[in-house]
Amino acid sequence: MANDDHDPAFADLEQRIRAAKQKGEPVGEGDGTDPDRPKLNFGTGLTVGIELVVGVVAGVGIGLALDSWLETRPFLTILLFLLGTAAGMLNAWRHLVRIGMVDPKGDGGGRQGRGPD
Amino acid sequence: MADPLHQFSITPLVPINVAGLDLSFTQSALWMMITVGTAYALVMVGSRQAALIPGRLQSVVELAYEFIAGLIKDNAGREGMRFFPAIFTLFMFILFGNMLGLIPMAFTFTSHIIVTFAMAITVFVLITVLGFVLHGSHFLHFFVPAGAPKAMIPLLVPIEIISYCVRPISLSVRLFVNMMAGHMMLKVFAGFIAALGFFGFAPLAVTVALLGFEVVVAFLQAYIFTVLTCIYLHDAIHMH
Repeated sequence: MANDDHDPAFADLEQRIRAAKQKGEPVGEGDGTDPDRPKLNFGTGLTVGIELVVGVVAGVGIGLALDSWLETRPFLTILLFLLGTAAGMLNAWRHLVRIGMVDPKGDGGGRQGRGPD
Repeated sequence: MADPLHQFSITPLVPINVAGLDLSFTQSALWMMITVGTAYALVMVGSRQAALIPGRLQSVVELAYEFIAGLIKDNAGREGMRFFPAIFTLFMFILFGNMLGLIPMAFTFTSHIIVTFAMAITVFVLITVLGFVLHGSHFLHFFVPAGAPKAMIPLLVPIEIISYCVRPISLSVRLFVNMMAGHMMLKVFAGFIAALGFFGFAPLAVTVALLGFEVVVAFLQAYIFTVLTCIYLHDAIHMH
């Protein structure tokens, strides 16, 4: 509607939206009250858990397979366990960034690193 | 009480054995066919009339179309729309598989990791091939994080490669775990209804609530699988 701009009810709409967003900002703790991201908060814990576990399990699996193939047990298992753990954490982190629970630019992650956006 | 895991056992309906290979037509395959048939029927019947003012079925089909189109545009960009048919099919297959599996006595094929893994690995291989087709060997730069110091690259590249290669595993495990856990929980609580006699109303109430919850999970898991496919598609098309 074109005349919405002149409607007094809409006059400070942008300001109100901004204020509401700012109020909802410290949702890094995942209390699920942020209107911007209600859909993916659900099941986030399980998803992050799966990412972490899959990274470790896949790393160890690849390590064991390579070790038995190259007969280097246990060095590659240990190495790939560490790399797999890091990969799992990376995937979990990326998932959290994707759903907007952490800010990738923040140095410590979570709320304290958030800049004005 | 009934075994909560019994519902996941595969039973062959038409035993077929070819050169020692068990290719039997199972109830899992039957439910996949029912899923494909139902989704196909909905889309075909819904889009048959193509009326300017849509009826109920046409509205459902249009909603599904717009939902997936929006999902692709938001997550994979406009270039991703080339893959709309594949992603729409994937979403409808998982959604209908999950939803039909909630009908009592039905079989949920998405609660089997081999099914979800087959879908995830297909998505993974096709997207990786697409990445190489679009970018050639430059696609390998995907594994080098932008702006990383040179000294860190030998450490970061293996981590990036593992994190890329576990995508089909996490994608398939997420769907399978959610479906299996939900159905197991339903079965456990439903088993208490008869066992508790008069007090069975309490587990009955929990089962009803869980069933409602499972409907949400069924949709949500189809949605998450599709969103992640779109995000991976975005990575292959645009890199980083």
